[in-house]
Amino acid sequence: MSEHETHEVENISTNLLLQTVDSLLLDGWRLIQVLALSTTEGYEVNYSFGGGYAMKTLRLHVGPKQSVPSITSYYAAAAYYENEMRDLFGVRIERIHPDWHNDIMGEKTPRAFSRVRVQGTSVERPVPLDAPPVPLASSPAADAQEGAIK
Amino acid sequence: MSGSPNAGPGLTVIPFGPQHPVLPEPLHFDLTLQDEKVVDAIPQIGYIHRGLEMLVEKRDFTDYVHVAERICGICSFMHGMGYCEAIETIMDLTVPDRGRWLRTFWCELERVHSHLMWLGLAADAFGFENLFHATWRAREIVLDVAEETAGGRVIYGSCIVGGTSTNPENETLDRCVKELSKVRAETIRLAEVFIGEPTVRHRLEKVGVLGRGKAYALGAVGPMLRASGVDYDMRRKGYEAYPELTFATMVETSGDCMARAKVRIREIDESLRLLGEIVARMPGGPVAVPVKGAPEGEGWVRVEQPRGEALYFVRANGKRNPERFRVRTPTFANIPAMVEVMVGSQLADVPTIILTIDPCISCTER
Repeated sequence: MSEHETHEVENISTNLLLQTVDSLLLDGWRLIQVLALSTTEGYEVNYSFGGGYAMKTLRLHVGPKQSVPSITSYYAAAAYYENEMRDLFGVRIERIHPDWHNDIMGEKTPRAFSRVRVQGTSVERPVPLDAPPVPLASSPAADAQEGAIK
Repeated sequence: MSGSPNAGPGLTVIPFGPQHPVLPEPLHFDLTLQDEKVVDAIPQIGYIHRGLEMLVEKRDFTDYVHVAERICGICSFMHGMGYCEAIETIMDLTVPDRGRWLRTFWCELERVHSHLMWLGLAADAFGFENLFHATWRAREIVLDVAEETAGGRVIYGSCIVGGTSTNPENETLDRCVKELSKVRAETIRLAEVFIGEPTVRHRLEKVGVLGRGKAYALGAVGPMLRASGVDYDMRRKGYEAYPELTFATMVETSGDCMARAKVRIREIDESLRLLGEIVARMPGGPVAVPVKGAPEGEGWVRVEQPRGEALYFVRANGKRNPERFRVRTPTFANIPAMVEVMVGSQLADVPTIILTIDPCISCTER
């Protein structure tokens, strides 16, 4: 049996994404990958899920300014794909957890102890009162000003 | 660095990598520690991102095989083959029997070479240098066989769209199998040390335990998944000559570092046995079909690399250069599970845990 014979591709609209992903999760499907393509109308986003050796792909067509909801609340592993997809293609994805703020590829942010990596981790870590006043939220303006390890 | 804005009271954040003695390739973690216990790990990739996926837009689809092979220096052949299979799916090309069996031969050869390399690196990581040298000495024979049959020790260069570019003689393949029998004998000897030596067991047993449910849910693949008790091997799906071969899938249930090592050691033995069977049953005839025209459509292919399932996607529009190529590598899929395993472990075990997923950062960065 060849691979493509057990692969289904289903076109869905953005507002049905979470509902469909939820039902796949309940049916025992696991995430295989997420990939984006640039198209003339914006982007195409493909979410592939595996159940046994079968594969199912959900395909979304989104405009350049349209947002896609994150599926990380259903599949934690999606965070790596979604952050990379936003970083490399510019796809707007809402509420990724954890959120690398357009920096999973690490081109803008100084290395270790980067403040952008504080957010969205699985452990709540209160900032001590005597800590230097480093803003915890990353913003394009703050990123632009950042040139060295704080 | 206690008191850093990243750390809370009683917590310390330390950087691990990108340059570290146990990491052959650059990968960075911010490890949050409570005493010696890891309570959080945040990975950072991107140090060697090369944009190889995007390069497909600028290369002829037949030439891009050589780029795909260079995604990784360890599973180079399978990257090239995965790309070729995706193009062949689109163009509805049927690779001749001998081409399919030769590809399978090199796939298994690559699995043996990769696992032996990993065993050596793992031994080096926990300070067993003799074992490292002995393992890599055995691996050298495998590389010699690769050179003799394909022409390259690291980048094979033998896979092309439509089949293979090299066609080793049957006598050469028979001689290679005899050479590989030495590797099998050596692997059995090394396995006894790896599995039975108390110092090795002390570092690997009950360390970095990944449960069956979590391994599946987090998308782990390959030996990482099979060591947690999930019987899943893409070769069983059937591609190249695998539907005509019978082989065992190695599964362990304890989910710790030792289980991951055992899966790989047993896979070496099974792959060496398969190599003998492949050569014994190697069909004759041509190894490739001519490729005419240009691909139009999309192809999805999944193969079982040494580190696990890899996915290849190609979309082409009828021109010589495809629109999009995507490879989801096994290490990328294993990162969430690796982070899960690290949390709760001791700092001293972090290098061992990272190595037992057999990370390939070149693959991950593409």
